[in-house]
Amino acid sequence: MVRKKVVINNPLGIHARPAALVVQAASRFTADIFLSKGDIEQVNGKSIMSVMMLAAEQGAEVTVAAVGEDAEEAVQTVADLLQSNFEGKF
Amino acid sequence: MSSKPPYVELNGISASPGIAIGRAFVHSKEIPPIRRRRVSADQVEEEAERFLNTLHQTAEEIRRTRRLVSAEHGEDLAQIFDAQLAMVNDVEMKKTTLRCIREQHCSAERAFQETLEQMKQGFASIEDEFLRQRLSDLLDIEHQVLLRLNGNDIQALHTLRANTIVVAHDLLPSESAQLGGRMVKGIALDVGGSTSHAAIIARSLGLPTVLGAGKCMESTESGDVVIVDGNAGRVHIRPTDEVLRDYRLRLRRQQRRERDLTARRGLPAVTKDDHTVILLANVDVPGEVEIAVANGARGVGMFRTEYLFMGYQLPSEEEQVEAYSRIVKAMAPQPVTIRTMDLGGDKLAHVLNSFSEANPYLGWRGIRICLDTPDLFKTQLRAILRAGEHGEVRILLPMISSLDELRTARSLLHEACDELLEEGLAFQQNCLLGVMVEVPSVALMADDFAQEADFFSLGTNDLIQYTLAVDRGNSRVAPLYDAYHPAVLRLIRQVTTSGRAHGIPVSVCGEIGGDPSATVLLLGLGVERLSMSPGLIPEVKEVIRSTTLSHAREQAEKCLEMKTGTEVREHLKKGLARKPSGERD
Repeated sequence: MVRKKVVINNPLGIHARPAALVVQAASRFTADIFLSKGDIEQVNGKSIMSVMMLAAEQGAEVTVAAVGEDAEEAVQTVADLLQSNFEGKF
Repeated sequence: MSSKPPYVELNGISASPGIAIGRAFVHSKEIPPIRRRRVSADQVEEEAERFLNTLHQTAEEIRRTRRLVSAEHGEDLAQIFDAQLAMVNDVEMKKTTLRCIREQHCSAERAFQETLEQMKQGFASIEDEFLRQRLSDLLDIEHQVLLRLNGNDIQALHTLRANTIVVAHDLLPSESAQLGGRMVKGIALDVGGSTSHAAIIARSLGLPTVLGAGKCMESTESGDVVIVDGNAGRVHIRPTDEVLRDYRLRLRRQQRRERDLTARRGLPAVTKDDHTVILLANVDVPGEVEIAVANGARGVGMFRTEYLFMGYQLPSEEEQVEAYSRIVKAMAPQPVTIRTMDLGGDKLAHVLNSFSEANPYLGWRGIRICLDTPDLFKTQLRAILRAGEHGEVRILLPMISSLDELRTARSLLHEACDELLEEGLAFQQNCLLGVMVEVPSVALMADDFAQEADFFSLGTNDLIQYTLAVDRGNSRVAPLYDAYHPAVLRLIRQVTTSGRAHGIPVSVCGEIGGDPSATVLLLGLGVERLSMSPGLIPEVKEVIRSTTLSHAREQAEKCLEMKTGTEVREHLKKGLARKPSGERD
């Protein structure tokens, strides 16, 4: 399993729109992608409801993990997106 | 004996004027009872298939609605549906439901409902107010999918028959946005206020609407004859022949009057003693600009930008430039006054409202949010300035209570200009920056504000509310909300006097600005610009053309000396009966 820890930068946290973008990005990979935050363990990174329910606010630490063929690339992509400001994307 | 239910009359709030008579379509959101049914092992795959098909149909329907709303109201409003679409396609939701069908042999209905129940609980425990708001989308989907699974036909709001009155407990913004077709004649809702999203959209569509009418939905069956009296804020369900006859007469009179006014809408807004009044339009959604132009508006007095911020995502600078440019181009060369986002209070600031407040009207709203989120604010300022290249824009700041706020906003405006200049983007330089006068502190210090603001716009709805300490959405105290209270009139007078002394324009953009029975008084108080819902312009113009400024001043002087709002109203009623004599007819 590939893992990476990131801090959420977006001032509004991962609300609906960023969540949708994360899910969109995650769904392009064949690997299973999981997000966890604090005591919320490994939710499906390809499910909008799960990502929204993570309720990751600005400053929150989120761990991205993936298992599968393209896991390495998947973790990198999703982690980058989570850390970004989602600029130009909303 | 026939058991036809009796005639019911309900009182509510007039949210959009006019009279509508039609057959009710009761828009129910009740979820049908789920039968406890086991699926035999050999039918499990069929049941799973049925579930997936239903999800697919629901997604298709949401996509259709989205297209419809996008075409009619623009992309911004349509994005509300992206959240629902993403949810209906959610992989976890599908997986859990299918597991429940396959492993526990549950019916699709039960499996889906149990899955959503878990998700709803998850949502309800989220602390973030904005995310929790998405619960309403979840409920909407639950309803649609369960109805379909149950074999019920879903009568979507956009497939209604002619002459329909939509009766519901409440409408989501997305639902109100679907009412634009020719079939819907009026709306009656149990809840809601005159500044709710449903009200705003109803006004922009010109649909007679009564909100907050209490037991509308429970008293009405689909197919009942319903009268919506948007003038008086009344709903008549299954009216008696006598009531119906009376309203048919009124409706005919209304239609005749509309035709007359249409014929006269090209005439100038000039009093009999030759004083011109500038009539402007309040615009909520871009579609209203056409009505404004047709009715001879001399510009947009207030373009409310909240709708851009109420959807699923924050609008980008480019998206805002596009939305503002549409209005500026349609209105050019007349100026468009754009109010920066006035979120908070009763507005659904999904994106920003991160906690609930005990006193939202005294809380984080208007300019306070703007200045606390300078990046967001500056993006909006930049977008407005860039839209100005197609005509003329002016910027209006909501909820200002002290000069510091105006100064900070101005320096951010300068920063935005400098940035645009540096980036070499086309924009309007020398944009006027005005202040909404809606907090009494600004009215009291109007003289000081007039030296730093480029114009004033009297936001009378909030000014009245804050001056008299009355929440008009609260029915117990609503009668105390009095636009004619002498304290309010004196504040208005103070603002127009300061405006004139410093040579800056003063307009009224609150509801009273479009109320023909207040027009004479406002002119007399020194207001020279009135901004209103574009459909109201012809009526107000008629009043202006039939009065004189000297008569109006006389009336206002008397009213300013009165002690109570009741006295003022009675005086005005008498004054209206006695038409002024004039030089021109």
